Formats: sequence, structure tokens, C-alpha cells
Amino acid sequence: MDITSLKAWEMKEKLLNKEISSKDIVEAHIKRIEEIEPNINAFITLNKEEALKAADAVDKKLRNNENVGVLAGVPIGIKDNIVTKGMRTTCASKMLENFIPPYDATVIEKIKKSDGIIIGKTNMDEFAMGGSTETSYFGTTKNPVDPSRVPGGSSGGSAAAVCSNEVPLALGTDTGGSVRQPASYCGVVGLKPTYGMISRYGVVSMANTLDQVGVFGRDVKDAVLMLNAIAGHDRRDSTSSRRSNSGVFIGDDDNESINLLEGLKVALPKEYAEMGVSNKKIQVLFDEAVKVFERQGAKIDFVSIPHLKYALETYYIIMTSEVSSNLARFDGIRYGHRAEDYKTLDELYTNSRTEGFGEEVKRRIMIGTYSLSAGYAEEHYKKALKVRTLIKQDYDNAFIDHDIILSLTSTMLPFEFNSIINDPVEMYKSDLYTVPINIAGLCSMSIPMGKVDGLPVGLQITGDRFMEKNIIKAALGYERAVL
Amino acid sequence: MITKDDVLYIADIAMLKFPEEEIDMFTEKFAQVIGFVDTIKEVNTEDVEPTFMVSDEAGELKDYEENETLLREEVLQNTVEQQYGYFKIIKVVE
Repeated sequence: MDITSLKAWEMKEKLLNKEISSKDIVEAHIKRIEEIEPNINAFITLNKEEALKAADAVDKKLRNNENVGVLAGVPIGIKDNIVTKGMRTTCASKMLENFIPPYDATVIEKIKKSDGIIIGKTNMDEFAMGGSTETSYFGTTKNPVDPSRVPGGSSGGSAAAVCSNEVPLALGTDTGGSVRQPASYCGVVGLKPTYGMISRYGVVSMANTLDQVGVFGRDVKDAVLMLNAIAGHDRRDSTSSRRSNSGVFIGDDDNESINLLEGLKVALPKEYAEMGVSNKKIQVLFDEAVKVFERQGAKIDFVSIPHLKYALETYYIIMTSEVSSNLARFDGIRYGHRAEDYKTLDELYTNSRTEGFGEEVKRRIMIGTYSLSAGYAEEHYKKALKVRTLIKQDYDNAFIDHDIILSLTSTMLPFEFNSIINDPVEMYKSDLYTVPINIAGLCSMSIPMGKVDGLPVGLQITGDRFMEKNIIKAALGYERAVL
Repeated sequence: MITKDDVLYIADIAMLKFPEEEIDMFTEKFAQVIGFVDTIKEVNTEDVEPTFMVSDEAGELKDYEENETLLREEVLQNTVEQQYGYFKIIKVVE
């Protein structure tokens, strides 16, 4: 038996049945990582010794017949913008190359409390800014499906690690699609919960009203296992919601004989249909997926999201404005890179930031600073916040009569490294599928729906705020119908 | 239209520096992006309230209570220079 090819829930079952030990699980994964990591580079930092110690602790609990948590013995990869006490957290930036956090993020505390095993910190675009993991200071991550191509981003390391059996579960963060798009590119499940569902305490902010922690797994059940372990209200994050009670996402749905798609009210945004997709094979796959829902008794309808066409502009203004504000904290004094050469305090700040940040990060700080600067704040930032209201209302209307919205996750296939994005129009359209979800704070997931030319394509299932149960039901139903 | 001077002014506020040879290229890219986001000006937002946060829950206030804080050594462990238990920077007053 190859332990690393099991799903997390299968590992846990075998562990509880005493077929395998937690140590067996962790050792098998470390071996897999040692074999494959030179080709994939999904991790920035590994935590082998601590992981083995944590595994021994779980095995000891089991020997003593003590209760164990829901993630018992399961190895987990953590995106490197989530702080881990005593374990380097870099945000894939030179700025934080040597940063050792003095505390754990709430999600890390929850994983440890659930007896999950943190095996390392995964690669990402610098400060989560990018869609290919190519802006990392620590080198690119390769797509395990085709190593000449990107894994997507910004949570590319987490998606690649789950895809290549280096870990069964991983955490990412999603500000404009950074969990769903790499999940689509690597052929795994990626779920971005509702804004406020998961605590952001200890998650390095990029754009704080859009950021949300998300989960990766190789099937829907695994992603939900991970979600259940980390969701919930946290008093240390004032934006975390009281509506985010954990442990409620799979109940009777786990009974495989139930048709979960029967009677499900599905909406297709007509704006996407009008835009079309240049790669016709991707369109065909999507049309087939919709037919699966139809055959299983779902009711399919077109809806209009009229302000969708302004979503990208709105996103860019709000995101960059928040980026410029959030990244102002990197001053080279309390933590992070400090320049060696400076004569004044201002030079210390400016030189440290100029040396510590990469090109994409600086570009976004600049645009955000411009949008917030005197004279432009009203016509850019405030205007974008008003358009945000209109986009949110469009979705509120769509969900009055519908349970879920179906779309592609991305209109593109994973592309080759350094292929200068030769089709900017397609790139633009592609972001239009993931970005509006964050603007409206909705929950959304990407699940594999097949391959085009040997490369994975994801189906995006979106639900109303705090209606995770609807998207999970739909995803489980679809997964059962096609497997 | 974004000029080179605008870019230098914004860089100054953002506490960033760009080498002379990059400024022109940056100005051009910058103008493209600003031109692109400018299209939202055409949306009619009369009587529309801004959405800062999607949550409809009011922000919560915490009760005042004593909590454990980080130890001084923990707070200082990531700085480049420290002295007498403080962050050390250059002298700013004569």
C-alpha cells in the first residue's frame, strides 16, 4: 500500500483502525517529498523533525486510548503567509527571508489542537501577488501534471504539494482566486470559504477585506475535513463572523446513495456565456458538466450579473489600495529586511523597502498609493467601493432564487514558464471568473471536471455568504455522478 | 495623463525608489493600468453607499481584560539591531 496516495480521510480511518501508525504516515510523506521535491519545489521550508515528534505524540495518544482530533496523523502543508511559531514564515519575499514568528496563527493552533501534522511551508507568489507562483523569491514551483508549466498561484506550492502526493491537505489564501485557480491548474479541489468564516489572525494581510484562508484536498470530502477543522469565530479577528460555526458541513450528505443534485437550483451568469471562451475544448467540458447537473435533476437557469464587467477594475483599485496600506508596516525596523546603507531614518525605510520587495509588490503598492492619494481617493477608491455595493447586490439578487452559480474557474489552461502572457485579453477574462467572488465575500470552490490536452480544468461552484453547505452538496453530488 | 513627476511623487509617499532607467518604462505601464481602471467612472453610482466590508455584522468590541502578551525577547528576536531591550535605529535628534 502506498500511504501517500490515500485521501486524508482514508489515512485517518486506517490510523484509527490501527492498520498504520501516525509515524508510518509522516515517514511515507517525508520520503515522497525527498524524492519529488527537487523537481517540484512546492515547499520553502520543511519541518521534518517536528513533524515526526508530532506523529509520535499522536501515536502515544492512540496507544493510551485517548481521544484524538479530527485531523489525527494527517500531514498538512501551510502556505508561507500564515505564521507558525518558531518556523520561518517568508511570504516568499526577501523582505521576510529570515522572519521567525513568535506566535501561531489561529488556524495553526486549530490544526495542532486537531492533531494534524504540519510538514512544511509552501511556496507562493511574493506576498500572494500573482497567479503563477513565478514571483516567489525562492524560485518557481512546477506543475506536477506537466513540469514545463506553472501550477497557478498565488497558492501554487500548496496546490502542487497536494497534487503530487507530498501532502493530502494544504492551506492557502484567496484574495482574488489564489486558491481556486491553482486548484484548477493542478487538478485538485480548492475551497475559498465565505469572508469571515475562517480567522485571519496570523495571516499576513494582502488586501484585508478580500483575503480569506482556503483549503486544498484531492477530493471534496478531504477539503471539507480540513475546512471543518479550521472554521469558526475567533475573537482575535474582528472580521471573523459569529455565523461561522464549525463542524456542520457534512452530515447526512455523506450517505452515498442520496442524489445531492436533485432539485438543486443552479444559475449560469449570462455575461460569461456572452463572453465565450477562446479554447473551445474548455467550453465543451463545461457544457458537459452542466449536463451532468441537469441529468441528476438540478434546475438550470440563466441569471444576469450586470456589473460583472466592472469587477476587475473594482478589484484592482480596492486590492491595490489595501495592499499599499497593509504593506506600509514593513519598515525594516521591528522585523524584515533592513538595508545596510542609509544616512537618515527616511533612507532606512525607503532603502529597506526598495531592496526587500520584488517588482510586482512594488508595482501594486504604487498603484494603491496613487488610488488613495489626495485628489484621487474620491474618483478611484470611493468610486470602486460604490461599484462594490452594486456587484454585491447583483449576487444577492441571483441567490434569491438559486442555490449555486456554476462557471469555469479559469478560461485558460496552465501555461508554460516565462511564456509572456501572450493573450492579455484571455488573461483578463480569466480573472473575471474568480475576482467578483471576493468582492462580494461569497464562498466558492474549484473541483476537477476533466482535462483538455492532458491538462486539468476546474469547475467553479459558488454559493451565497455562509451557504457552504450548498456548494459542498453540489460538489459532492457532481463528484459522485462523474466518478 | 500620468507623468514621470507623478510617478516620482507617488514613489516618495510609498517610500520606494526606482532606478532612473526604469522610471520611463514604469510611467508607461502605470499609465496603462490607471487608464484601464478609469473605466469604472462610467458606472452610475448616484445614491449608492460604499461597501468597505461585506459583513453585515457590526464590529465587536472586546471586553477589557488582562491578556498575556509576547515577551520582550520574542518581540525583539526579528530585529536587525537592538540595545537595552529596545529596537535600535539611527540618532534622529541632536
